[in-house]
Amino acid sequence: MLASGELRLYLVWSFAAAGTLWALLSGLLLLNRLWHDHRRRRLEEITSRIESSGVAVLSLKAPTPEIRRILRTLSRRAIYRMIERPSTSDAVAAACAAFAVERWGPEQMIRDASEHDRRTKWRRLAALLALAHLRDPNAYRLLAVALEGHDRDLAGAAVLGLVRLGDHRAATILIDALRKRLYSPSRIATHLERFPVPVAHLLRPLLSDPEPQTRYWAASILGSGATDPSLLSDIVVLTGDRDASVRKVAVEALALLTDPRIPEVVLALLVDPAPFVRSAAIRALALAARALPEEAQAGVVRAIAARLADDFWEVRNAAKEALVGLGPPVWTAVAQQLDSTDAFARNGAAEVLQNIGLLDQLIATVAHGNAPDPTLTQVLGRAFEEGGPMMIDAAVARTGQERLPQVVSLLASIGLRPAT
Amino acid sequence: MDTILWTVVLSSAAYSALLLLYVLAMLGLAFWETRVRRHQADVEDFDAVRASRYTIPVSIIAPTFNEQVMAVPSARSLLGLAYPQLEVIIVDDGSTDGTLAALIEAFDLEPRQSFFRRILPSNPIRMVYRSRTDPRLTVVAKENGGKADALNCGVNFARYRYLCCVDGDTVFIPDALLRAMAPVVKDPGRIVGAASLFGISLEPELIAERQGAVQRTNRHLLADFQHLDLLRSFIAFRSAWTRLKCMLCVSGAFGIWRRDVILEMGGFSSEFTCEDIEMTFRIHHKYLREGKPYRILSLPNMVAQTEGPRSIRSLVSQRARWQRVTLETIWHYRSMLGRPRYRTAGLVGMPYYVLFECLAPVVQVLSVLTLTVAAITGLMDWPAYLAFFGTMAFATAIPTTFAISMHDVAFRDYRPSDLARMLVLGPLDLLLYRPILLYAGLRGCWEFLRKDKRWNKFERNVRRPAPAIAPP
Repeated sequence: MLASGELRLYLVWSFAAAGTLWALLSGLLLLNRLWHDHRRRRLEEITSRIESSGVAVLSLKAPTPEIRRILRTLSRRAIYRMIERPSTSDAVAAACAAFAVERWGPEQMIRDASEHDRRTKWRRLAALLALAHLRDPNAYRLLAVALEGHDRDLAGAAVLGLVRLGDHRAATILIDALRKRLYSPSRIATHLERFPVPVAHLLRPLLSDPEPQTRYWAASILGSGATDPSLLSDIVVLTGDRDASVRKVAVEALALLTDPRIPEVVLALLVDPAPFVRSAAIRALALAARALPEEAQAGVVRAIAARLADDFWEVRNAAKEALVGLGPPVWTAVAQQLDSTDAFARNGAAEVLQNIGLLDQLIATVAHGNAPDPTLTQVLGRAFEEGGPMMIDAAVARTGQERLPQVVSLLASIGLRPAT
Repeated sequence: MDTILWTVVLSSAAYSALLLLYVLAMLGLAFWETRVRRHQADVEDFDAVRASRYTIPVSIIAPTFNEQVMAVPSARSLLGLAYPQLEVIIVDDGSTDGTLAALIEAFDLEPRQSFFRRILPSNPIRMVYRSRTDPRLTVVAKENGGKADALNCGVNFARYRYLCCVDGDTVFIPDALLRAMAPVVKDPGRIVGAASLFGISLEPELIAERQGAVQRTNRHLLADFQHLDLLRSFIAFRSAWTRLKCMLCVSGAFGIWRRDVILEMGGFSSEFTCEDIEMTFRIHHKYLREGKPYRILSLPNMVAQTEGPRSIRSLVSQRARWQRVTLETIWHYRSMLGRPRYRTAGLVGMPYYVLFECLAPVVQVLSVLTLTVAAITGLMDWPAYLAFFGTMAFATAIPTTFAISMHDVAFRDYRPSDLARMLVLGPLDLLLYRPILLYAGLRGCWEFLRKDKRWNKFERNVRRPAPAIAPP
């Protein structure tokens, strides 16, 4: 056992050592932060000067003397960090890329962009983006290699680099990556939808690809910005695809097109075996119905209203939302569902009638002292029966206190009363 | 007697040394994880994610109970999130104050019958409200049943594939959901849960309005200690556990879950005092047993400010509850402890919880008492006694300094003056803050043994009156 004096000595030394170490670390942290703030202000100043020097972004091949003077005070790491950030403006990123190539040589840049170990991964990422900014001929090959690698961060950067290049060759690489599922398809699709050059002609062959996922993404991207009428027939063919996801996206694409033949095609999908296809068909029909003549519109509404009895909640929900979106004119078709043998159809119809304002309108009519229409009163009663006490209470609450006596009287006339 | 005392003293020193080594190891892993996440965030094209129609929609569920002060600012911050497609479902769990009235007025709510899928059981609903001005907002008023019950009710109304479960007293920055979902949308097949760092504030609604992307301390000692505690926990432990694939606590203040996983688990459990840590353990338990691929992440971005107790009494109540739920969860899932079948969750995460969370209050009290007795009996003189505690104060402050440093290097979102304040609080933590937590931990252990399940919600902090406006 240690003597008391020895123990005290050890503990006092430990206290001093721990305190000193803490003070040193804390001091280093604060100094690092102050240095970082100083450097950030410098970088902001540099960025501002580059942007105000009128640099032409895309034609930049060599930095101007002014840019050399601005950037030569920065380390390679700092310059690479500026290149890799999407928040850096094109002008600044291009200026940094040009400077990096001039300073460290194109061979160094290509080496940095070609391979990496654990430590230099982020340097490779920045080098790839730099080559893309410079539109270097090696960029395409190196970005494609990065996209095919196992590292998702590099693959993501490669996608950004190809978007930066923004030409047909880059689009071809991206579409190939989409087909091979080299990276998140949704992310690639996001960029292809906004690609600087038209890519529809490159995507159309994928509509007949053997892989359903490829057909899916091609149809989705093409459908979003489709203006070519000849595309319609290709997408209509996909509504009969053997894969349900492809059928769904084809329906969604049709929803964005305007053609009088679409409702007829989509109507058939209301009975598709896949519930999510039926839901998509309902939404597409609701969009298309607005442009139809009255009689045709009524037929579409009846078809959608019938889906209130669907086995799947998401389909019933889509039908409810679609009908509400079409507004008060749907009420007669919906009211018929109040007599359905299916309980979901009955309460779904009640909810739709509530949400299109029919119930409130009827109540307001009575509250103003007008005689209620017997047919509408019957509909009101049936809707409340199927909607339950909460629907009655909600309607009463929406009416307001000043009309409460008339509302209670109306409800009593149809054998109902509010629960609260 | 001397031998017993020395044995206890040396054991305490060994325990402290073991904890310090564990923390330093976790900090090393956390450094790696935070660095990777920072780089990923630096090169992420958030504009594309924000604008993309392919970004996975999210249903945000916010249970509230007696949040008259915070419900509206919290809801506003949720509706103000910069995310392409979301819905907000506020579940008022039978509030007895003006919470519902405040929401109705603020968002022009009207009552509507709304049929939903009763997939998870929950207490009866009194009324559903929809906003006339923002169709994304639904408020469900139900009978009181606790937070887990309210969450399950919200899940029944949710329509999207991912859920974001939040507290009703938390205010979010606009980019919160975007930054948290960015890694999720890249790997939705595997990532089933995600958490992110949040700060503690006495008046979160004011902080969120004032400072935007800049974080600040509260200039209130107790609140700042809590803020520091949370920062250290997220940075030192949860980031490291993410790297080790054993992230064991998705906090209820902000937690993203894949909806099908929550349904597969049968929803949140009301049998535990808090639902967040238990759900996380349950998923690890089930998925590791079944060999299913999955990941649960903790991200180092600060996404929100939540209200922290202003008084010691309120803090003790809160932390006792946290201790209680930790014990409940660890006891329930004790079969995972030390078993290779549960990989790092059983071999790294669980031992930490057992040794340094569950047993900590008892070990710490024993250590302090033993040292004090040793000093009183002359086995250790008073200068040595004081030097020991001084050493421990600085030794435990060093990992805190590392954690602050890692966060600052990654995000640079504190002012230098606030950094300095947090650094100084580091060594004071052991002397001023830890005793409170120690007491709360003991109380939590006692409540666990008594099978106490009460929530013990702390009173909302009194708000400062708005400054008077001088007449023109």
